[in-house]
Amino acid sequence: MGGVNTENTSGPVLIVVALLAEARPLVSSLNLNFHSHGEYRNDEFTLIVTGVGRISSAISTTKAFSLNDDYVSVLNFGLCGSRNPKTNIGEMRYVNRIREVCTGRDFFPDPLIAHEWEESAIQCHDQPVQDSNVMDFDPFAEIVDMESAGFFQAATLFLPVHSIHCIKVVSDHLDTSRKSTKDIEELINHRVLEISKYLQQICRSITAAKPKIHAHIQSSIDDIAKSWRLTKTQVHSLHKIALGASLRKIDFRPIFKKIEAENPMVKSDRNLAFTHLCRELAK
Amino acid sequence: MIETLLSPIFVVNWLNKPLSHIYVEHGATDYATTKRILERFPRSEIIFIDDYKDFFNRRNQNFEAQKLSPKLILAKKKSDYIYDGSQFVQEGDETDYFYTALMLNCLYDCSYCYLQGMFSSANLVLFANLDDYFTSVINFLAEREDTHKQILLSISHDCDLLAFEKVSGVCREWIRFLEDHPGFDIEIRTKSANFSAIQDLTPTDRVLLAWTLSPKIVEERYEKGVPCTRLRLENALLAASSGWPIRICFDPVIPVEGWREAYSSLVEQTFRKFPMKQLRDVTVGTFRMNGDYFRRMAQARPSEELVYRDWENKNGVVSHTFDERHEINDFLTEQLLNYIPSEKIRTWS
Ligand code: SF4
Repeated sequence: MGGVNTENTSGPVLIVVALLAEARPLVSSLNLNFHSHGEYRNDEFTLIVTGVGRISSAISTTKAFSLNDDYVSVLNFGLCGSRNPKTNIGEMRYVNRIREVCTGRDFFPDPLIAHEWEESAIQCHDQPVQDSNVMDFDPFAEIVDMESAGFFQAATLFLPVHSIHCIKVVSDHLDTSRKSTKDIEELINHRVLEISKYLQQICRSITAAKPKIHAHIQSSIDDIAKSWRLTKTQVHSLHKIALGASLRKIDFRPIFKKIEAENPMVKSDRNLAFTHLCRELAK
Repeated sequence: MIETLLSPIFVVNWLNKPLSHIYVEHGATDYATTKRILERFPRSEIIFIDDYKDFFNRRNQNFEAQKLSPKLILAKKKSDYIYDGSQFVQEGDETDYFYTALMLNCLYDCSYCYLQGMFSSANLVLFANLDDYFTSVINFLAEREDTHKQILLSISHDCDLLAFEKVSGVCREWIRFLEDHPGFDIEIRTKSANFSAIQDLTPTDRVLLAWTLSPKIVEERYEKGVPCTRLRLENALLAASSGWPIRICFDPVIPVEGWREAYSSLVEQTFRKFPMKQLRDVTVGTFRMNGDYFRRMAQARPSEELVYRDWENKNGVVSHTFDERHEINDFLTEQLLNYIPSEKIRTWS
């Protein structure tokens, strides 16, 4: 009769995209429905369309987290340009470093979860980049977008860095001529299966949930606290020690049974009984 | 290759493998250690960074999650190469104890480790500019006034350097440096079974190899990813019989149910066949931690049973009560006296 629950949990994932054309293939493959506040949702995923640029991305990401703080992970997904002519259009990149060009600051996702794509650092500019010399600002970053830095800074206010992900599809080689909605959707449609698979990975929490004592043990502790007239500090200590005992999976029954027989009347006896109980639970 | 250093349960298949990513400071790219490590891990993703602190000290990291897939950072240490000894070690008055931080964090994951309260990240930092450490030791020795006391420099503080030796080769470099530079000894403390990584070197009295041992119940419950005590002891015995001076550490002694029987049989198992000539000393200590580190560790590791124990917090140190500490130390000392003289037993209380 151990009394603790430390199961790994899973929960909803927030998907952040800049354009409606980037969103549509995901909305349809994940069966999301339009909801209030511009969100597309089902039980597992919420998708928001932020508009172009760092600031828009940061504001919309913040808004989504303020509407719901249950998300276990967040994914920024969208198109990017590549300075490398050898990179094929449609290739995916997992972003492992984000350089915000206007401040020169770097941000780092924590790549704990395995994936199947190549990785790259990204530069986040405030204007579309068509001159590859501009990319020399960060020679180690192959790809470029306009949202990642804003998204990342907003997301770190709400989630640990290992739960923040950024995946990009290369759509051009720094050629900013307008792409048709159809072209964008087609690029993303080719990748929807991989993305769905990855989303299934990131909807489970890596770490165990904070341990809690089972209700029946909690209620026994409450009874003891009441009948022994324990102080707030004593109740707090008892609760803490009982949680530790639960994690060690000790059997509470014989300990509580022994206590049932005790009925300390005066304060000094009650304090002594309390000390004994703590000692038993700490063994 | 790194998995072979860890127990198999430590590697979770849907996560990236430990050291899947290596972050390299621009200023650390040219060091031999950096080059050697990058050659050894051709499949790791290399990410260049300006300053290791940008990555290591980020806000909102999760220590527990990162322990499941730790990354390596190769950096350049820029100052503070040698520190004054810690209040938590058991050195006698005859020794001046110093330590140096060559690496931050550890491959293993012990529930009682202070590193989880000291750092906000579980990633590993290895400082690659060894020559700067060596220069600093030379200057330190030259400037020292009290030359009577023996100097013991711990090179595996804030990490388990021998556990990482097959990757870093740093212990080997220090042992070689020592050969040409008299005036100090080094201690390499470990829970690894990695003696083979330095076994080919000529043993010297100036390198104290220290193994921390725990009974099976403690090892299974509180020492994740660490080689079992049987292997650690085999390594200590092998090192001793090869001629290296050895320190054995029962530290921290954790009073689990049946701890007296467990520790008494561990002491017996350890010293039954130990070549006593090579035993420098034995250290015994109870759980103790800086109060701030403990508070942070309790937040970072909410599923660790140890954080819920009824510790005493006195003068900024979280530990057992005075009486409990003495009970534990006295018991261990009594057991040890069956095998070794009292002057070789050092306790922290
Ligand atoms: S082996 Fe030492 S440094 Fe490593 S986790 Fe355990 S206690 Fe910490």
